Amino acid sequence: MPPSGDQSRPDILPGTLELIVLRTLDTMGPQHAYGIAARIEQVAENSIRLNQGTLYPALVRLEQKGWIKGSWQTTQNNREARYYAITRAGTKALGEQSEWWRRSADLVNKLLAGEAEQ
Amino acid sequence: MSELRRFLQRLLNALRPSRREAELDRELAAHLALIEEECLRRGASAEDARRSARMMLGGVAQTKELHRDARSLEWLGEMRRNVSYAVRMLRRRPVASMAAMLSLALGIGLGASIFSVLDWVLLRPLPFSKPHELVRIFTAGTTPPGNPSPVTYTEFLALYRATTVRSATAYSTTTRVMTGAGITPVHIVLARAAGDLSSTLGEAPAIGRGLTSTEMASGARVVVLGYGLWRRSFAGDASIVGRAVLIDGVAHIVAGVMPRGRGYPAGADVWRPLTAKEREDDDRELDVIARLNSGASAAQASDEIRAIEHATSKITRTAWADELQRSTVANVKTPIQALAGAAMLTLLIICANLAALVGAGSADRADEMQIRGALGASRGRILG
Repeated sequence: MPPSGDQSRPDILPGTLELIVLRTLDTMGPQHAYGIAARIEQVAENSIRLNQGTLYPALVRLEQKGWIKGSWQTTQNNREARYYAITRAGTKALGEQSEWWRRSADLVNKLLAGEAEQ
Repeated sequence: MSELRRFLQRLLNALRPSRREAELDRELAAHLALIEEECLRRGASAEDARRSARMMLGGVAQTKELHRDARSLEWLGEMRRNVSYAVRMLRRRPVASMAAMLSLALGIGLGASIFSVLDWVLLRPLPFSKPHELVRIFTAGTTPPGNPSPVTYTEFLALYRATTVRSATAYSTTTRVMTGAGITPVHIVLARAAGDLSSTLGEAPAIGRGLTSTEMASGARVVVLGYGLWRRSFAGDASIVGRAVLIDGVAHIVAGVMPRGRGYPAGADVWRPLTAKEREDDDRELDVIARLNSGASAAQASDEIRAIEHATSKITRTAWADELQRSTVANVKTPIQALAGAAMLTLLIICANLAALVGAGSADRADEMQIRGALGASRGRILG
């Protein structure tokens, strides 16, 4: 049962988008919103439906928390774009959030495994 | 920490129109351009590239809305816009607005001032300890039934015997002239008192001492000064205690000074014991205040006092006790309540007028409201 949206390509789980963005910026270095979206789609191999506009609220939240920082730069093709880079506070937060996510996922996985055995 | 930081930024963004909006436009345009470029690179037509860019983004207007929600406290921003809209509307009809504001201000001011009088006079307890125990005692003739009148010294002594009465004081005020070394002659209100002055009212002088029971009994030439007189005539000099002042030429020693705003009756400047001569004269001139034993009611005291007065006067006179607070404000209670009622009605009338004014204004604005409604303004926002 996917949370919502069409059955074959569920939306991103609410609350995880910030973690995903942080992780993407941490591995790829500074990226613009389109770059982040493209990266997520690439990793998800089209199994997740990403409305690219929904990245913006997440970016604002992260920026206001001081975990990422945006600045205007030019792309390789000489277009302007706002690039986001992870900050030191962001790197620290990424560690904490990843830990939190692992624990939650572990718990859910254990419960699901238990159900399957019965 | 990061949550607090975010909250402050949202607050700031809500309170001032944001530069972020223009920057967001630029950012979204750049984003669309990047997608289009990618589509063109894959061989799509310019038209298709434009369309699929918008589809992938999920709508520019929706994205901006989401961004605003995340960026600022949207309800606060809405409120700011509503207020600025209200100010614009007020400025568009300055005469009506001024009339509305003035009449509201008048009505509220009127209500507030009358209520503050009512509060001070009727609602606040008297400035004595346990004021509910205090009663005022009146006597009156029985044949024919007379108005409440003062009490003689003999009657006072008899009433004092009532078991419901813990202590009582009698006084009569008169105007005299006070002089003395280094004092400008001044008219004073002199309260001549008998009984337990300080224990009845439960207050002691701020400086010096009160009148002792021996002094009260003997009619000694000792006085207690009121705070106001002490400040006016003695410049607040505490060394006045123990010195003499002349009242109508007779020397009296100052025993003490009452605290500010204290002392009964409130208008008195100087208190002194009733002299032996005055007691012998037995004039019907004394006002009596009594403190009842705790638990005794004014009605119980009245019964007892009436019986005593009937017995001593062979039922030619009667007496009763009335709560001090009630008897003090009895004369002004009805007028003040009437004033308060009038003020409230005035406010109501003003509100009714305002409602009519607003009604007339909204008839003018019917077209505008329809347009705003059609554009999606909520009902609350149109009315607000």
